[in-house]
Amino acid sequence: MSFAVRSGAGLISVGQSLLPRLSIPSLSIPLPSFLQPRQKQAEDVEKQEKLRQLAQELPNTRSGIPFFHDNGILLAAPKKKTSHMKRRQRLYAPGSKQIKLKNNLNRCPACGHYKRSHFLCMHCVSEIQQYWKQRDVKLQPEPFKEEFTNPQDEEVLYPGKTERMYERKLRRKEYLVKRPKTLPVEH
Amino acid sequence: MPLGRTAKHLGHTMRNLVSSLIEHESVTTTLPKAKMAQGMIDNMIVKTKKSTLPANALKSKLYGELYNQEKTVPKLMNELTERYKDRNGGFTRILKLEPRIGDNAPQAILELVDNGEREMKFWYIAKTVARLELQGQPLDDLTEKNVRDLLLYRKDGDEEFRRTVELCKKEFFDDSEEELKNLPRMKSNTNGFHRTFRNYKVVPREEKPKE
Repeated sequence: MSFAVRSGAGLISVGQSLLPRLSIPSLSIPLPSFLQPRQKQAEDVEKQEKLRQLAQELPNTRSGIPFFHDNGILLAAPKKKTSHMKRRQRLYAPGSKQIKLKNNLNRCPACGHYKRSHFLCMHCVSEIQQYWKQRDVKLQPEPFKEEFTNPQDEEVLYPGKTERMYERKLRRKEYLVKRPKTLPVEH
Repeated sequence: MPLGRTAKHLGHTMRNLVSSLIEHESVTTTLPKAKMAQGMIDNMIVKTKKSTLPANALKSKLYGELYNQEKTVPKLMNELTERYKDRNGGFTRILKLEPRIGDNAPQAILELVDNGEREMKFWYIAKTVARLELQGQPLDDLTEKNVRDLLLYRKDGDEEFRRTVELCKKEFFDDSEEELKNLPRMKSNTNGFHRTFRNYKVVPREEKPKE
């Protein structure tokens, strides 16, 4: 790939709008000094003086936006835009980046669905784990529940206690991505 | 850096995992972490079993190696050493799972063998046996071997296994005729297990003529 050298011209134009106006040198070509009025000549001398001072201070000032991008150092940039074909060849052609076929498929002995060999069937695992959860909940002591003899007390203490839409979503865990049930075997 | 962690961070991760495993009998993590923790827990149980230190010294040593010590250390010293007194190794097993949803990390279950409460392999094989019995099929060789291995050192294993099989029949195959429809497809009696070692004939060696 070839590279051309290009200055950071775009950044300078951004910098100009951010800088205060006074510090920007005018880029117009000045008339010869004998044609200009004397007042203007004096102004020009002042301007030149200011610019020189600025140029001397440039390397010392660390804060603020630099006068030139990277102090005028030129950067390498690609010469041509990468074509559609070349980009797609680079990104999507290699076999290592494509989805591979799985040949290690077996049938789960405990439910008969497809599963990968040497791996457990996630359907059976989740079924068993859910059963364990139910079983262990029964063994644990019941969680504390506030009881009111007078039902009006509850209304006073917790007014307007209704389940909002997003609360219901949170409770039902609808935001979770669920694992699909494995494919049944066709004979 | 193993597991993308510094040595200190790794040490704490493993200590956490091993402590949780001792406390809960089974943990689900990524496969590399499970493999790493497996060696450590096996080593720890062997050293606790063979330790000649007095009980106090051993206890204080283990306090430096585990977390949640009030639960884990007495359990390791009493319950686990008692449970594994006949075994010389292989106190844990790793069961591979499908990759995690979200970051696609390979997952695994790391569990202590012969634990009473949450042994996934025990339940999985019990479910397999329950399904075969409901279908009216004989056990294939691989399942038979699995059951035999599972109950080798287990105390009252046969009764518990029978009980679990009945429970599985009730819980998991209650109203699912779909799961019973697919009969096991056994290409051979061996079902892919030790095929080369079973299908052979014994030919007696020719006797040399005596001179």
